[in-house]
Amino acid sequence: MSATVQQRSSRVAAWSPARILSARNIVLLVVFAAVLLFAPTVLGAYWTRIFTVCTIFSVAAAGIALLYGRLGLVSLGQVSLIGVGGWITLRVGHATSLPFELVLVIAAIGTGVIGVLVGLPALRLSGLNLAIVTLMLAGAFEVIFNVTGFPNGGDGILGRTEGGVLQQPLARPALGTADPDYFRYVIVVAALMFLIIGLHLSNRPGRAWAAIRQSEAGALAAGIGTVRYRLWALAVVSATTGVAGGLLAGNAGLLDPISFKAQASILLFATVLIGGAFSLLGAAIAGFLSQGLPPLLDAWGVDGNLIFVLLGLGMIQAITTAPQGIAGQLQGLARRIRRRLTRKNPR
Amino acid sequence: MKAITARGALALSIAALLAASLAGCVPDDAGNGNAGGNTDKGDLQCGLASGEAATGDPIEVGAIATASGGVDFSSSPKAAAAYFDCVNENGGINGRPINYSYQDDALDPTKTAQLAAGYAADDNVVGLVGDATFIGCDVANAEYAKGDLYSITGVGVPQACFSSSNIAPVNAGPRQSAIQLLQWLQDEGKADAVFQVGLNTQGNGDWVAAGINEYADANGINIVGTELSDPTESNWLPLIQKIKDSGATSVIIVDPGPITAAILAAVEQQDARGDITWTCTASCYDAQFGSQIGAYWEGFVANSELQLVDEAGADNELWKSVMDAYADADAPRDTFSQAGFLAAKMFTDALLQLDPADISRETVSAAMLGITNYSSDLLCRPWYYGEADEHNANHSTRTAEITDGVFTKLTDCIDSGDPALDGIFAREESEGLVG
Amino acid sequence: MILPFVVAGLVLGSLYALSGVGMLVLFRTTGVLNFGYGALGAMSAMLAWQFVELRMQPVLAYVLGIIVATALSLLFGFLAGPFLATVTTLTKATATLGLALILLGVMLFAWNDKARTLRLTTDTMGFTLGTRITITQIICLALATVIVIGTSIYLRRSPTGTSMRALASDRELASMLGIRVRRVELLAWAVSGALGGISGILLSSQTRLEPVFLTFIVIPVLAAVVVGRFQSLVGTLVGGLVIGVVQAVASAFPETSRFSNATPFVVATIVILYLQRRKVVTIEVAR
Repeated sequence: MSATVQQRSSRVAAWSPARILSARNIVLLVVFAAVLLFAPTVLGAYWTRIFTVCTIFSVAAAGIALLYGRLGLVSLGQVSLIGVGGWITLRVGHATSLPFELVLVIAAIGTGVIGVLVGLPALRLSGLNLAIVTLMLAGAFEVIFNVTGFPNGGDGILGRTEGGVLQQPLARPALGTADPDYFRYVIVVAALMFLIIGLHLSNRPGRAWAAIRQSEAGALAAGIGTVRYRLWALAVVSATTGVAGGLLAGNAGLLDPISFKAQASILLFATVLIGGAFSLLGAAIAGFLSQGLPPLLDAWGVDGNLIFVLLGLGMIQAITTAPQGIAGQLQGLARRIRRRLTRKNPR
Repeated sequence: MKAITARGALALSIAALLAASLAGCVPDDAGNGNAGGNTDKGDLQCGLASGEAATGDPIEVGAIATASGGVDFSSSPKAAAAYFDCVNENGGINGRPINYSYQDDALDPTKTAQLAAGYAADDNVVGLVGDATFIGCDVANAEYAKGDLYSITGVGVPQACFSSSNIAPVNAGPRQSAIQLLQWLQDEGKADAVFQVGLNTQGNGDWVAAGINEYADANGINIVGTELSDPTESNWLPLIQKIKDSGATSVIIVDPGPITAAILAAVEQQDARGDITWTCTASCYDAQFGSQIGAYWEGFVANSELQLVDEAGADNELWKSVMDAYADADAPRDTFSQAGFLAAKMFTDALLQLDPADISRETVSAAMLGITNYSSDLLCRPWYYGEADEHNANHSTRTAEITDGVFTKLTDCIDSGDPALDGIFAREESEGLVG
Repeated sequence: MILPFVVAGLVLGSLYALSGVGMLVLFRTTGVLNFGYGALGAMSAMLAWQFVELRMQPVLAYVLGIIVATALSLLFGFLAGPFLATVTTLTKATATLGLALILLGVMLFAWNDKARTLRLTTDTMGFTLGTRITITQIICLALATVIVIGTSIYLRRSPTGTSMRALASDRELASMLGIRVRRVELLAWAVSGALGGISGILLSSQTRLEPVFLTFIVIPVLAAVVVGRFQSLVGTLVGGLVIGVVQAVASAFPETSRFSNATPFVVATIVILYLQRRKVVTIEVAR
């Protein structure tokens, strides 16, 4: 996929009707519609909830994949940004009576701003230094979340109830109060986020990012404002991750600091590497690996803790032999099948 | 290259062998404190007590417990599982065995909600028994209410567990436990300056602290300090310093057993016990606790929300013997184990009244809600369920202190003076729930 | 009374430093920043606890735990070393995240993430010197200082140490000069594993004995290494001690107490940003 992106030379080509109505997009659309219609019934109540969370995390995974796959940046603090988005959503949601969609937008903007502000000093860093700084920030956010907690309907800046007053969950959006409806709601919002990221990748920002990854000096020489594009990447990733946080907050209406520890970010990063950092399919797989695989193992009667062993092995395997991840291998397989099917009339 | 690896491996294996052969052993002092039973496995009176294994269509029963994430409350479902095993070997529910299992929510409310939704949606699950969740009773109850699923919870910790429609805990809860420690301190004349310690988890530490403060205000007791810490805290020096500086004469700790043990170890390291009376809620009431915290803590006081483990009584004896026969040797023998056991026993007794062919969530829920005036020597007052938005049937507890490494009785039942229980008392009166 | 906090801070800081030195020895020799280092220590502590539970003589149990940590580290170095030598520093570090996860999974599978305590017999022995100081605390402080100074001297004086330093500056060149590169690297993995094992046991006695907690204690430890600028052993020792003391003293005051655990992260972030202040563009071709 990365190769095709770089070959596209102009915006016009990307928007031609033939491209939009390509076989792949039509298949995607059909699958999408089928998921929306039938998935909750097929999955049942328990798995619908699990897949809701999987989808939410795949949005955050897409952000990590963008940073790693496109800009070559390792960010080990993305789960903290989910927490930031969740915190803003709960706070704004409790304080105002705005519709949930608007709250999500506010969360996206807020998280984007915080992501950029936090990332600003780290902009000049790359490689190992950036990985360490983001990990340290994740550690700091863990402490901060522990102190502030998450809003649960109380007063004050922190919005916490205390001392014998029951906590109040945030109401779900009007369009998704029941579990199956919320699942659909999350799928649609996640698809929107994927679309936003996808459009960035296939247009000018995506090419600029690829150039920066290849060589920063080269990109500078080609007249690409590296700082500007890096900032923009950071903003886009933070904003979409903030939306993921908002969706997570809307799911149960309550959040707990325990979900946003530094180690969760490391795990999510591992799943992105395994799923594949170079495509959105990889991000979707990563979301499933991080949130869906443990309950699946539980359901099969395998100790859920073995997930760590699987992820660890998968990560080493991804680094050594399969840098494109599971998604890359799947796409390779699809290519081979297509080639076999069309062998009779080669292009 | 090869040489060094081979040599390294050789050295390692020799070292391992040496270590293994030299492993002189330390004498074994493990045991169940004073919580061993006296009944043989064959004589246990579980359920029908027929001595024949149940072979019919299994009845699915579940539970959610916090077993990892820094807190382990799985002793309640473990005891419930032991009792159900015993019931299944003794005729089951009129021939049908109970298929019981519990799931761990890892101290994460998101996971609690998922698991609760899963149980609520699974029609085969007729009821929940012996749950012990440290968080998330509120999110769980919302799911249960949707699915008309009811739980006889073994251990409820946060406030939401005691103010839910579909959850009724067997234990008294940290708030009652803490207030009754305060009442005991007051009776003993040791409540001049009280310092309270707890956790900052939502709806738990703050709720207990509010209860202590309300009782203290009403009774003119001086609370000189409150410290709520994170469950993952490992630096106890600031706490010890604050207790020293506050001039406290007594301390009430409302933390899970292992965390309390860590605090006490830090106090011992600093030799800061002083003349202070150190007390802990029922979360420390474990037959092993005395040997865990060591000789330094002779005279340490703990509340017990159910019967003291060394007291006589048919149910207490049955619990101890069932644990010996059906649970792991290292499963805790504590208040929460008793609670899980009693939850399973009440559930079994209720189900035995039903037609075994007609056991569904609907009939089971009705049977559970119908439990009233259930007496046991494990309890101070009879237990009941009943349809209501709050459930706190157990509100009288006992007190014990450590002598020679085991808990021994200080007081029998103390009735709670918590003003927040007025609604509960009124309902007991008006609906005749306790006889 | 601030003294007890300073003492506790020095002890915790010396353990950060001890762990940090183990990471640093490996990083300087092989270029691998081992994120699995905390997991090695956790494994050693959990095994030691298990052996003590099985009624083994405590000292033997500790030694056995340390040996296993050493062996695991050596094994990973042996298996992954050749591959790791060919990739960027960042990829090296990322690969060790895999090691951390595997070890963590094995530990959680075997022991669950319960709160346990590893009691050393020296925990309750102590004396009063303005504040109460236990023998365990003395051991931690002394061991960390001795090991850091010992390793420094060893790297400077001994032939192996010289080879390690040679490797750190240029691996290819070192091998051309006839240094047995693999051998020196494996030695670094072993030394690092042993230090990890020792510090794991001591950390578990001073903080918490939980697989997850001990595995991810690598994050604050990393802060000490950062202060040592990824090269200075003494800098790491000083960094560890400063972080430990600041963290403990911050916990003594109600205003800062709740944020005290963020100390390592704040210090490390500031140091990295300071060190990088002039470097605007990294000229490195992506591999």
